[in-house]
Amino acid sequence: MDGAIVRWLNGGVGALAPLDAVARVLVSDFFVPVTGSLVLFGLWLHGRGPERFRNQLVTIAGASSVGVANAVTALVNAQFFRPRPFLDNELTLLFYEPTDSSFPSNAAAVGFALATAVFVRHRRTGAALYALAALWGLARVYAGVHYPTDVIGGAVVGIAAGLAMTLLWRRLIAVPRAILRVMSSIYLA
Amino acid sequence: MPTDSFIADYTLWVFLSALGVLQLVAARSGLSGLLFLRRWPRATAYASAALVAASFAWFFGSGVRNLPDTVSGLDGVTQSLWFAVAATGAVAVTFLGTSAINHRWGAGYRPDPAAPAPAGLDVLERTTFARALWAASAALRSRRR
Repeated sequence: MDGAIVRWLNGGVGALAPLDAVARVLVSDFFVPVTGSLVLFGLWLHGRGPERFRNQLVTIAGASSVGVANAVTALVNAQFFRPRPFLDNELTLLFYEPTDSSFPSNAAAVGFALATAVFVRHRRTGAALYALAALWGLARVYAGVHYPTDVIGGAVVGIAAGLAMTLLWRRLIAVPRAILRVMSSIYLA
Repeated sequence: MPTDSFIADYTLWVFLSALGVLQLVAARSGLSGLLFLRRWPRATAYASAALVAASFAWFFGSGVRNLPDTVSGLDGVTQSLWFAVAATGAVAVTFLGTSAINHRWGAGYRPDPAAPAPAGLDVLERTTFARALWAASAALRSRRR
């Protein structure tokens, strides 16, 4: 089933050049992470007084959730190796050939972690980031470097990391409060 | 190993995008002290959005970006590191540049000695970063005396 979906989606590669061009950008290691990071960067300044403080907590939760999502994915990758779909299927690659485990998708984990941390406080921006993360995952399947279940697994890791970091920083609120107070005194927060 | 030109392209892209995001958010949040074009916040917002879009178009349109980190691409850690460098650069250029450009503005600002917490970025609605820092250090010096 997983392989059939990859073969069906990847079968469309080459049919429509503009679609492939968009997929090449979306699938890259840079587009979604940098877009998401720029959203976190903008949130640091956005708002006023207590609202800005809450936005800065989102930035802290978002950045740390990406770190946790990466670490969990690396741990699972190290324990469980799943070959990439292009090794077991005849596919047209739109991406380079990654050598690490296919499951879970690190890209999906990072994208969904960022989106979850933002969605907790900013529904519309968070929903846009979820859409971007989902498109990133879909593009990776289309490009032939992930199975759909890799993306679903990565999404689960990312959402869990985003929620965990949001809850953790709420519990440890004194820590970011102290850091932000110091930064406020020199007009950096 | 990533090539120097790839790192330079990535860093320049993030730097320009971060600069644009900083100006866009500062314009929308009323942080006049962080604007290069303080009198034209609306124009700043449009120009900043254009800068972000243009930097994305340049990065992805100027070469092959899907390269393995084992050859000449960037792995996650290196990418995060250079993102931090570029974003810090954008912050430094903005804070110092706007302080220089708007150096005559916000001269009357004095920190409130009775405030329970530091005012932080809100101060930059009324003055520049350099003036705010100077006023805060002056207040600290007079309190020590």
